[in-house]
Amino acid sequence: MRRSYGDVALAGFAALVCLFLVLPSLIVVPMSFNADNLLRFPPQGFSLGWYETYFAREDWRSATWNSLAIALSVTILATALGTLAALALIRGRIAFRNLYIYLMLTPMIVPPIVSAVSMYGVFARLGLVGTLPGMVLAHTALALPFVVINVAAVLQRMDWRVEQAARSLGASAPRAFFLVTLPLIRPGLIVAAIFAFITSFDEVVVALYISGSRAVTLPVQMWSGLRFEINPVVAAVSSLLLAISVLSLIAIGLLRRMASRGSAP
Amino acid sequence: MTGTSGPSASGGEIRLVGLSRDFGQIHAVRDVNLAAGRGEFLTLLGASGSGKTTTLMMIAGFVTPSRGDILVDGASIAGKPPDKRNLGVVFQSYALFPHMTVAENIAFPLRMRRHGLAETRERTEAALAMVQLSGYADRRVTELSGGQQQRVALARALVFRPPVLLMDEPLGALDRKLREQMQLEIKRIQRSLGITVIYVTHDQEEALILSDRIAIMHEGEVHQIGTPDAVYERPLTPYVASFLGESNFLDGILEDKTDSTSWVRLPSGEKIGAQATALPIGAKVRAMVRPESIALAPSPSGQAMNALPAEIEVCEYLGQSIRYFARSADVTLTVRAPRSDAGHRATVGERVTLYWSQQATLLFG
Repeated sequence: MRRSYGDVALAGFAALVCLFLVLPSLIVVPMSFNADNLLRFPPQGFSLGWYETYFAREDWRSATWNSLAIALSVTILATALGTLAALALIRGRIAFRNLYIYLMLTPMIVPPIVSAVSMYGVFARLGLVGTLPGMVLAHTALALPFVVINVAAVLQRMDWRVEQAARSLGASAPRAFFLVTLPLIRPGLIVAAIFAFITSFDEVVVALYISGSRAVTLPVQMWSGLRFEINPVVAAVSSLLLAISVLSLIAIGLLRRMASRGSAP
Repeated sequence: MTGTSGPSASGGEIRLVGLSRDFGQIHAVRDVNLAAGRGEFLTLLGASGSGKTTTLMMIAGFVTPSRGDILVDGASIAGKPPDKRNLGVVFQSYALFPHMTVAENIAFPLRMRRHGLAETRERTEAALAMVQLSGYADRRVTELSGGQQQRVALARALVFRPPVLLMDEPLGALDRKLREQMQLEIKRIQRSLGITVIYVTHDQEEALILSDRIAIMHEGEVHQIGTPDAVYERPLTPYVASFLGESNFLDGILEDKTDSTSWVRLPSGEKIGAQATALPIGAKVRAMVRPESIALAPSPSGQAMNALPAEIEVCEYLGQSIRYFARSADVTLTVRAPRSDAGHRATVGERVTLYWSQQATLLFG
């Protein structure tokens, strides 16, 4: 294949943009292997000590478990609710459909700090601040729009005659959904679930307000780590989170490709 | 047939009584009364928006009727959900399950009915044999061609032996050659099973080939129901005449009539004869004649003929026939003459006389 100078220039520019976007995040990786006890770049020597500290210390461990428990609950709750909402929005005959869509997307549009303050006001009154259920509810609200958007997209592409065919062949509405519709939209559902997981797992602003002292999540723990004891544990945790995010994105990419191949006629 | 384990002959009787469907102010289907007997092939023929698909979807249970009833073998099914109606449905888009193999697709209705494994396998194989796809059981449906997918859809809709099969433009996505082949196939299977078919299409040729009877729909209403030759030769409305086949219309005034013939005065002053009518003398009428009924030379048959002077405007060579557009006064008539090696072929600009039988001329009010 012949390449013009334009193509080379474009590829070079794209590479620069990627570098510019990604490099600042990647810098934490060498920093996390620092032998020194300061957050600095370039690192001085090599050590896995900060990873050891991370796994050994009770506050980091409990924050990790909290984050995982909250994110997994959010994934299940947001995916189920978001899928039902998307089904209703796409298939149902609903008055004010657009109003519902905008309402459901607001958590994505409203600045996180505004969500955080308003949720804090309500949750404090309900005694939900500093509890895991409170965190799950708050993050489910934030994750919902991502699920609705993703699931609505696959539902819109689906041929409804396929589900009608299942009904005509003797499947009740629930059976047609679980045997035919669900398998066909599954790749979209999994992408939605991964988005929900990341939304919760990475979230810090709302968590700072709602988590209190008893439901501290990993990002909140990192935040206080940075403020009170600047050392490379934060870099080690960041590297781990980065790895999780990258793996999730790769999974999403693969699923998207599977989905588009599956829906091709 | 492929033995007793295949889908068996058990056509049902289906009756639509005053079936109607409104969408807001629009009457998509208006007071449709139809009946198809056991083993009958009934086609709903119409342009898009005629209400034919809405009617079929009401029978299948995907559209709720505003009024009226649907009876299969005398029992109303209008209140039942689609899965309880036990009707086979074949969609234009095939609507196969892409995540299942060919055999899994066909076995699906048997699975829903909780048939045993052995019986399910046996009946699936028989259904595959019926549509000549015996070696394809374990293929993914996405690997099949359009024609093969339609065969799978047909086998899946028949394997549970429904009394009535509903088909919604099933050949619309296929090319001409394959369509003709599938028409033969559908007809063969329908005859051998003796199943009742309600078939929806906008393709008049397809309707004429396949159907025992055709119901022509227009703007939500059934204009005429009859055998293919009846609706073609004796259309009841100008719409039916123009939709089914080509037709020429001549507007005029009913001047005189006898028991056998009506006389129409055209605006040009010419007078033509037509079939007897019940319309009163002096009424405005439309006379209709088919292009293939018109000839450029008088026939020796001894029938009473109409003769109209005309000038050839366009001449189209169609292989087995030649189509002329001939202008007579202020109307252009279409003439379709069989191509013959000996016969005279008119040329553009030639002055000719158009001859056709008075009894081949129908009158509409």
